[in-house]
Amino acid sequence: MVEGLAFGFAIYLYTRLGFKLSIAISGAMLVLCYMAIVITSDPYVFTVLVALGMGYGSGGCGFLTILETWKHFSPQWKGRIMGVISAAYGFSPMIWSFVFSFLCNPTNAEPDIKIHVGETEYSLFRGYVVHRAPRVSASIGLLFACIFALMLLIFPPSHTPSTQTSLMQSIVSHTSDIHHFESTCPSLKAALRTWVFWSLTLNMFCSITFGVFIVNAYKNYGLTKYRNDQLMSTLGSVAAGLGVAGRILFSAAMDHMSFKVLFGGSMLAQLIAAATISYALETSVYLYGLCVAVGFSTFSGVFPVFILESNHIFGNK
Amino acid sequence: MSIIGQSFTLASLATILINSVLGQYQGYDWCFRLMTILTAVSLLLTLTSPKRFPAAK
Repeated sequence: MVEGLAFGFAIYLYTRLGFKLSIAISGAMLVLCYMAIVITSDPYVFTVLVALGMGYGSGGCGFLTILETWKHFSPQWKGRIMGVISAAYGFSPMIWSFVFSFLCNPTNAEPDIKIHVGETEYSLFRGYVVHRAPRVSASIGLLFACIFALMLLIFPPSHTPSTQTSLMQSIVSHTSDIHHFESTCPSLKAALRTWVFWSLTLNMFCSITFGVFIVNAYKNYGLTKYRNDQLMSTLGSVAAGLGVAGRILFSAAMDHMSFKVLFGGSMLAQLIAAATISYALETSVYLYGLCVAVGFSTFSGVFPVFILESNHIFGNK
Repeated sequence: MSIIGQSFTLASLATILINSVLGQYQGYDWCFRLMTILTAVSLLLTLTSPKRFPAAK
């Protein structure tokens, strides 16, 4: 939720403060979160820190990097730039999932607690895996601080947009290259009166929920059958890699295919995956991995499609 | 842009609710049944939409 809300607020900060300062704020939130969760023992404070720090840090960084990088390249390259950066955004879980698992659980110890809530069984860790987690979190925080500092040093000087209009013009110029639209929606109120708005919003909501759920729950669900932490981390990393491929393919396909064909095809694949994932888990880890990969791919792919399609329809509002 | 951000926020909220309520008390299988229905709705909306949406005026 915070990640979703952070998109809008991060753009507001970007228009007022420029790229480097706004990305530094997002980065600082992320780094401080990793540091602060080490010293707190209150579960409520922990939850708030993770929700705010990681949510804002993640949501604030991703989209701003795309917007800023667009300004340094010609318009013909904007689609490919969006594909590369959003692919890197999807690629990072593939790396960090391995790093976290290796640092916290280097001997691949099995979960040592089972708890039942309702019909669901949860496999959790205790002992040395849990004791290593705070130090790993602090180390990752320091590493992220170094990465952000390096990025701020090497990124070319920013041209701060003077108004939100100039920023939105830069976004619209991208979509107009692709769709050649001339009409724009005059206001949000006007958009709310159109069936297209509600159709697209409902479609976005229905299509992305499976991906959001899979990204968050594939490991716990997989551990109910295969009690192997590193197997699940590997599966998630491979699925994230396929998600990256999906993001690049979706971005490239948008130049050549209609929304209906592209999105209809991906939703058909997602429908099959959602309907068969329980059977796949019981049958084979490869089939389960395939269903998870479809979830990661569509979750990654629908985002650029909706960004461009909503801009095509509603313009800079 | 607001469509993207708010729909993503709504989907995240729905996922939290599904995971914490349906997932914990009914099991993951029920979650995936619901996901199948939601994806079917999305597919239906996509198939019944025009090949390219007209720009809003």
